[in-house]
Amino acid sequence: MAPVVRKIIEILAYLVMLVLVLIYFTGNGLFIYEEF
Amino acid sequence: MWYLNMSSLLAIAGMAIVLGLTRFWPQNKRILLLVFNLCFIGVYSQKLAVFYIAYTLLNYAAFVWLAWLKTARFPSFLALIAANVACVTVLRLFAMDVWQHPWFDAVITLGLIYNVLKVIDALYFAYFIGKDAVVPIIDYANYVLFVPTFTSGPILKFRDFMADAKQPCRVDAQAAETSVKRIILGLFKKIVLVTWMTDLFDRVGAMELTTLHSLFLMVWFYILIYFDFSGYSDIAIGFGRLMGYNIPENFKRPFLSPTLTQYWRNWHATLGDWFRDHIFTFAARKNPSRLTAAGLSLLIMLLIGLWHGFSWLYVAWGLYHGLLMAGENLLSQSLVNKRKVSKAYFYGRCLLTQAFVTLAVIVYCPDQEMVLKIYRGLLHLPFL
Repeated sequence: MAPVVRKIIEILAYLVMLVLVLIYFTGNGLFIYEEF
Repeated sequence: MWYLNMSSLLAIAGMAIVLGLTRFWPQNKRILLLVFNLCFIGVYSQKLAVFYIAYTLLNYAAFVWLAWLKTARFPSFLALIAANVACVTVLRLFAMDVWQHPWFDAVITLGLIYNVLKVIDALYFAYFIGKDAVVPIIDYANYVLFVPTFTSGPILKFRDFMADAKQPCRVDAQAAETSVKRIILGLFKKIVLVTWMTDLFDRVGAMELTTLHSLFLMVWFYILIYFDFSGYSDIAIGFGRLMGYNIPENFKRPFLSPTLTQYWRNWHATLGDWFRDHIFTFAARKNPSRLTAAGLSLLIMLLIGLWHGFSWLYVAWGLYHGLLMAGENLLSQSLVNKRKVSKAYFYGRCLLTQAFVTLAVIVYCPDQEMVLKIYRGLLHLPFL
């Protein structure tokens, strides 16, 4: 049971991250190292 | 930055899917990737594509010539490296508007400081392996133009890339899952965390700064740039692996480095490895004296400073790191083995290393006025 629960939590965590990425995605970001 | 553009992300993801669908064609990633790399760069900027095609062809010719050369190999090897360094230097001066010409602008310097290191690594390969260094031009071009790492690394190793090129792109379900998770994590760091952290950094930075403000900004910026750069590396590693190439790790628990020497093996590890392999090991060979090691450490950190940018702040940053590392070498303190010292000593050394790094890491901030403001604020003690 524990591995299944762990997998569900992991999937949820990555889904939350993905949703936040889509919310914050502007297409205008700049990677800081490109300014060198 | 092409990872932060939706069309680019979809194009790279689409290419990974195409490679997955053509997994039973042994040449899939070599041929399809070259077409993809050229098209991607061409769509981004035709000028960039023309420059990189010429740059790749010239360097491939130099690679083959050096591999077959029988006499005056060493001076030729050095001359080819010098020519590459001179090319980058001149183009960067054009990009900085020190010199001006309508053909040259900042676009063609995109990724150049990374790609020149890759090209030099290939020259080392040709020099040491000689005429057995047979590499097809298609693999050489993919090495230089590889889209996932093109703009900002991690810096690929020529030998490893060529070994991967011999294998068809066959990504199994587990590797695909790991890579996709890595990409999501990287995007989360890069797009969400860095956005939140930059907002607070800008707000505090706009205030009149005291010592505490400056110290906060230094620590905050250190964490911010870690998420920024490690997030980028996560995305590049994830996409690279989906395309059938093992991309080296750039961050190997850098906050648990007990000395600066070890720190530079764990933070932006591919850069530290490149300078250690191509300058330190090449010049010092085996068992260098403490004085030689110290001198080379100082030279390497100055070069890394200049590699980051042609400014006095980066020269000062390189000198600072170089002198600290030279001190570690002279005092035989460059390596600490966790198993041979107490926990308190080990973590104390890690803390000291982080303190040294934090004091100078703000130099990476693109706004030089802000850097100077933070250093001035550091001296602005509350009781003065």
